[in-house]
Amino acid sequence: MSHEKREERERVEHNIRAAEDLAVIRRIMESSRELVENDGKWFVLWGGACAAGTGISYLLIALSLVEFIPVLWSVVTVAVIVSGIAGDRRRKTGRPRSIAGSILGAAWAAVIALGAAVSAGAALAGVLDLSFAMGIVSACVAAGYIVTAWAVRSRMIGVLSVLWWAGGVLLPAMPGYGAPAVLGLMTFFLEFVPGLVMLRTARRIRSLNGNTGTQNGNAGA
Amino acid sequence: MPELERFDLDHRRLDEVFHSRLRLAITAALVPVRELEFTVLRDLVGATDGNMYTHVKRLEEAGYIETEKRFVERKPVTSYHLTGRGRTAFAAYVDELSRFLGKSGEPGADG
Repeated sequence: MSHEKREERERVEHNIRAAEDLAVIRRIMESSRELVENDGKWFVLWGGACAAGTGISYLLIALSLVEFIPVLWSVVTVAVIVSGIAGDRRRKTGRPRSIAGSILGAAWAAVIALGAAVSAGAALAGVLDLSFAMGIVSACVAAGYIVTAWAVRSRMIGVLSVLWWAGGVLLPAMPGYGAPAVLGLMTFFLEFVPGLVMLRTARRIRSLNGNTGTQNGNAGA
Repeated sequence: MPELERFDLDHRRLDEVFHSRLRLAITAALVPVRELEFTVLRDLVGATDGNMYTHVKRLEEAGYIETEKRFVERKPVTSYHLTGRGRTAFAAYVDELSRFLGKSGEPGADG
């Protein structure tokens, strides 16, 4: 074999090796991230449901059907939890769960329970001011984002957590029904939209890995 | 398969530690998370226990990862996390690979 041909073959081999290495890196990083955190699906589910729920709540207020609001939110909460758990079970069957992932799951369960208890309590008992309750919900969500940012080392989620904290400070100062409206917008822009971005990224990486044929679960030695 | 194109490969610029694809995979797995347990990491990269110990030790010797041992529910658990040095070396390696392939915007440390 001539020197040029050998050199050309080496170039091709190195190029293939580099492409394979990058495909392995992409696949492993995505799988690793998913062991700790979902691929954005929960953000999309909660963000979309809460934003839609807020919009429908305002419609019910406008139509003087306020008594249906607690029913609406109960249905939204149960639907999101059931669909999320069902989706997770289908996708993660047989997959390991890291300690960080378990901590994250528990932290978000606590955030949802606290936020739901405070907002439902405020709405039903009238003990807390509605704006103040929205501020507490926002601060609870911020806590969830901080734990997520810590677990997955994500700057984007860290920045979002700061915005949720700001909501916790500013929402109690809003009069009347302004605070729930702003919280609805926050769930759309700070949860639903980032969730869509995360989902899109995860799907893009999965499709890239599919194209390079390296999703067989073994990195090789 | 990406389009094959000419490039100048300089092996001296590539980190020898990552020449093993398993070590590369272990490091990549630790990039987007705070830490991972031994068994989780092993299953993720599809390695055997013996293989894992060998390659993890090599990464530790290079100062790219650190080990932490603790008890969870009375069971010993070994976890690994990436050091700053390891993160820098990995980023440099990915940059170099991307440069070979004439690409940009390859995986980074932040999600």
